[in-house]
Amino acid sequence: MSWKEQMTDALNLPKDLMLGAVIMTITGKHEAYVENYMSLIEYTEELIRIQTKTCKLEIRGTHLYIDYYTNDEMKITGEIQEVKYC
Amino acid sequence: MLISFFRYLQGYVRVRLTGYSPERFLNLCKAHGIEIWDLQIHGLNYDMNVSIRDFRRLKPFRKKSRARLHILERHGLPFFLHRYRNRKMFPVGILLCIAFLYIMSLYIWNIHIEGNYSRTTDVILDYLESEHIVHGMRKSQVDCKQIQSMIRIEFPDIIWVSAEIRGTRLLIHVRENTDDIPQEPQGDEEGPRDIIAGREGLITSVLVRSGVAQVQAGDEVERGTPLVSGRIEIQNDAGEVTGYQYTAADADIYARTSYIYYDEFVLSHETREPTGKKRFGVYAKLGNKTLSLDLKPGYEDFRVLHTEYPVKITENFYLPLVFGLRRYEECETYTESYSKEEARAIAEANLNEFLENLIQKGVQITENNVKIEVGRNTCTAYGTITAVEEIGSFAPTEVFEEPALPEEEAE
Repeated sequence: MSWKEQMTDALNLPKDLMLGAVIMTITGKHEAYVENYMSLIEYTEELIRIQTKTCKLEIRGTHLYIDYYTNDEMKITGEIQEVKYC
Repeated sequence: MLISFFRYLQGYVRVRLTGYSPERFLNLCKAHGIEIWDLQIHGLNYDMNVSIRDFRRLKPFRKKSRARLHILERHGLPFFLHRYRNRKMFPVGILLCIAFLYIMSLYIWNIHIEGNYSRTTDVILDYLESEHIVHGMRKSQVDCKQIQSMIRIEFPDIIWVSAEIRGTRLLIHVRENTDDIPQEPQGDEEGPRDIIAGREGLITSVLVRSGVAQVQAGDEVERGTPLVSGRIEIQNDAGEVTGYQYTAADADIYARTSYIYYDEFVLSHETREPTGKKRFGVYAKLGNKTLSLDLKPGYEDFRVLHTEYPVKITENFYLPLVFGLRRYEECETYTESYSKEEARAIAEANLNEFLENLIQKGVQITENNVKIEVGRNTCTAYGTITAVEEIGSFAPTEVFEEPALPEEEAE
């Protein structure tokens, strides 16, 4: 654990601001909200790859649609099968 | 819901994105704060929605990412307005219609009067019209409280009035006094008065309530004979008149009177009968001008019946337009004479009408000696009718000077 993480933990600061951690809210199997990301690397019906500040995020599934895509947040619908950090 | 409404108001397009790197395009949009929604993939095509304002800003990103955009659908109010730009009169018509309804709703179109029995609606409406409460007046000028008090003052037998405006109607509810109104006694002027005979006759009964009776039952009186005097003499012990007191004489004086009845008419008379031939014509009257649509009938002698149908838009609001129907009936005049029975029936009817009039005046008929004779050319009814009736009528009392008294008595 780096000193930055330790300090954030100790001071109880929000990790998304301090560390640039991605926030994913997945509701069931069909809905996912992603916040705190940088850009979209790849988008097809089966795979969405997102670049965040610390890592890349892969969401696999079928019939993946982006309901909206704005500066702060995106909403993904479709059948989600797999979420992977790499 | 609210968001989609604002999007509709602003207008948006559905575009199809094709090209080498759609992701780059999307990231550029994101970085510049361009909102994209409903992104869907169909093979290599990316379909998405962009608002009109943002779509105009897309050109540089399109070049950068070498993407191609096609507009698939247009949604929203700006496109709707553009599509129907040649139908400007339609919304104008709707607006005019609403404005018309609104302006019309500012006026009174119906005055409805309820609860009146002896005072007819026309009488009350005429009165209201004289006070400038008319059909077609502004609603804001109607003062219901004022109308209520105005009607109450004008019609004393209306004991309760309520006026209200409902929509464009002025509703006036009245309640009439159904009890008999005490009649003001006739000739109730202050001051002395006598009662004199209004007809000649034989007095049958005298009942004096105030004043001094000058006659008694059994007296024969002429027209003008004083019956009751309103001047009461004040006498001293010696029986001399020392002064007068005046009062309004009041008495019931009945007398037997007689009426002479005479009626004569000629048996032969002219009658005018329609032959049955008819002809119709119509006309319209606007104000004082008449527009007729009929031909003069070729009849020698005819009578015309007019039937008019005034145009009204609510139950009491008459427009100055009247439609009328004229009916021409051809007539024939010929002379005929009554038969004996017919003549007698007519004479009896005339007599009964005469008696009926007397009875209505409060006269009791005691004897009827009228004989009806039908001659060759004329029918005659004559005779006397004896009756008992009130014969008093009022006359002012003559005021006498106070008699001069001897001085010592005055002291």
